[in-house]
Amino acid sequence: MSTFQAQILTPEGSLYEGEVTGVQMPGSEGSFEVKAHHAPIVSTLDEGSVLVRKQDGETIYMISGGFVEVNNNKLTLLAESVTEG
Amino acid sequence: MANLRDIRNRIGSVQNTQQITKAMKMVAAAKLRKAQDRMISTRPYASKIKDVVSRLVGSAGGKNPIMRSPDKVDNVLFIVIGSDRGLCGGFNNNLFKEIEKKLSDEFETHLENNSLSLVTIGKKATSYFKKRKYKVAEGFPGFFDNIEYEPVADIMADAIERFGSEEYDEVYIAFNEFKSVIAQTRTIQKVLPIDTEKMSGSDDNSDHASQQSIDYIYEPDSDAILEKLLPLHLNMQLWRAILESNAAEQGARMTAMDNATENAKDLERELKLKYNQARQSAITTEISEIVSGAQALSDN
Repeated sequence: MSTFQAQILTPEGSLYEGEVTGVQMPGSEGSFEVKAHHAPIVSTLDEGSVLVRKQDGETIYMISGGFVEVNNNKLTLLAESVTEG
Repeated sequence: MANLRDIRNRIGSVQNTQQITKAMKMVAAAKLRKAQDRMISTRPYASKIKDVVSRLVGSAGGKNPIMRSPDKVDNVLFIVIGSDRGLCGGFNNNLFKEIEKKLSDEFETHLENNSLSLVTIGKKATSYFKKRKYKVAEGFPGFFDNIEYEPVADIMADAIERFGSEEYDEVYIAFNEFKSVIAQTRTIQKVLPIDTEKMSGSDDNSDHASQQSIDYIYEPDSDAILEKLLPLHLNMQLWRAILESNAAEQGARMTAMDNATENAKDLERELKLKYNQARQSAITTEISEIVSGAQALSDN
């Protein structure tokens, strides 16, 4: 399965950085998932959970809202408060 | 002539002081390293936000209350960032003097009309401006014991809301910017209203131009994203200012304590010299007393 770079950033620093197969996020227009080779997108995110799928499992993060940018097979998720859970 | 015991006591107290200042210097150095790390770790987030904001800000519609540009400035807010503790040289005073100068130069009428408010962060800033009868809308003493993002964001959110509801027309942040361990720059920065030209034009990194040509999908739409993003961007500016000020404070304290230790060393050397001189002359007097005493005895 093809992977792409994902990064979760908070004002306190970087929380996750690595290769993922998919990231599911609570977009303001509804939940959506980004896979590899997604078209460039900037979207705001609502409060909710972010599911990061890696080749060896998945991690869930709770975010307080934020936004995401995908460009050139690289995903950057920014949120003011992120907790692992 | 100074009493021998007095001098000895003074040497003791100078040595004690020296120990304290030396320890404080070490503590400040350790804290500085931590503060610098925190400062650096915010950079990727900040630059990404700035990147997207600067891309969107040029094409934004004018409906956003944060984007309003007031024609005349009635009410001004200054967010002043000082420190909680002293013993850091001119760190606080230099900044406060500069702010007062700016206020009396550029905002004289506002001061007279009582339309200039301050939000003070740190105990020193709060007590300084309260004592001088400035209009302190809110003070946050004891802010730096545990620096967290959320209270910082709350301060900025409040300022943004008041700016949006036209309670304030301009918002400034005044703080010590961290230049190097020994140098701080006093910075007074205007954060609101947002300078759209500067935001969209100042980005000088080269990959920015190529990014602009990419056709992004905006969800829900670029205006809505901007409306959500701008507060985050402003929060970030205050957060950065707080962390910079924190690092600068530790740097200033390190330098101040280093100087204090040096001074204590000089003083100790001087006192030791004096002590030895006094001791020598005391011994000389004693000997001559004994000799003359013995002579008086043998004369009999």
